[in-house]
Amino acid sequence: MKSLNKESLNKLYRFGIALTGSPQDSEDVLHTAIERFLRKNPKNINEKEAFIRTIMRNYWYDEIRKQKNHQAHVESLQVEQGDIDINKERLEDLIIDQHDFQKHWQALQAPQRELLYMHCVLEYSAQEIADEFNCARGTILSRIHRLKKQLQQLSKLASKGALS
Amino acid sequence: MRNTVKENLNTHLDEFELSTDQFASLDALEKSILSPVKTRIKNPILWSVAASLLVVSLFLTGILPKGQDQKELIYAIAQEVSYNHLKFKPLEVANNNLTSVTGYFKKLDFNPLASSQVAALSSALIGGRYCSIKGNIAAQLRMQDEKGAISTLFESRFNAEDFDFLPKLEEQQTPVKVHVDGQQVSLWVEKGLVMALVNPISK
Repeated sequence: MKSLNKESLNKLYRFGIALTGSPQDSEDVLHTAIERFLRKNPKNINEKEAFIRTIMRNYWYDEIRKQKNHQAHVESLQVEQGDIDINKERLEDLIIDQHDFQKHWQALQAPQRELLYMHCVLEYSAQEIADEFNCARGTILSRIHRLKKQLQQLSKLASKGALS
Repeated sequence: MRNTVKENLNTHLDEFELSTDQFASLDALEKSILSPVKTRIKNPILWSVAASLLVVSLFLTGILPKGQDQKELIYAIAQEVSYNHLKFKPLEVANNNLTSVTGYFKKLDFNPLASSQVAALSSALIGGRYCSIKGNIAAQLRMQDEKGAISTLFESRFNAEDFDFLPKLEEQQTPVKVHVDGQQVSLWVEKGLVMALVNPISK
């Protein structure tokens, strides 16, 4: 493709997997987003990947909304400022068994997988993620915190299971 | 093996790559969208206007052969009657007696008649309503066969300016038949009337 190189397309494809949880859905979402991007033919776009990611996200959540499963996403956006504790272990440094991680990854909600992807793969800061999601930094910190707690709990449960 | 979330996620996602076929599909998508068709007309009405202008200009410059011209006119009439047939507007007179039905059409400048072409059908008259063919007032006679299939016979006064190219039964010519919208349309001139019969294509 002239518009995007293979590396960019693969990155977007992996983002799609993080977003949708499945390679098949990711292909569909990527295909639709590329089509919309090409048809819009936006000028002066510096960050094509970020632009296409936004199209993918909007399309996917529209699809979820259509399927009336959007509640999980809405709930996940609820701010729990009181729980924020960013001084302890960082989410990306949390140690977890690879096998357990893959199991938990599938069980995460779409917004959680997307957040993890942006934080751990793209290495975006909370502010950068907030800018892309067009929400407050506190919201993102809250979501990161809850995700970390969830993964910690799952990891502990898995360890207990392995010991018993 | 225990790793950080970051390492685990990257390892997991690195397993996924677009295949050659998937790249080719996206490449084809890009080419189809970015192909240099700069004068694309998206509006179907504009397409119709453009096509009409082309036909008119070809006609005026004498490029369009007469045969082609007649074919276009036949299809135009066939499409008009097929559209009216499929629209299935309510009957203005519902009766299975031809005299009663034709008696309803007092605004016509001709008398609707039974046609030799319709006699062969095993359909019974169920009613009629006014309509038009190429701007000429016409009668629409609706018929139904034993299986419930609907046929419509359109009749209008013969106007040489609009219909001279149609076959005339009195000159031993046979009706011209075309398929439009999944219907068979037969057109002919009989007893000084233009007739168009629309019926479902028999399986």
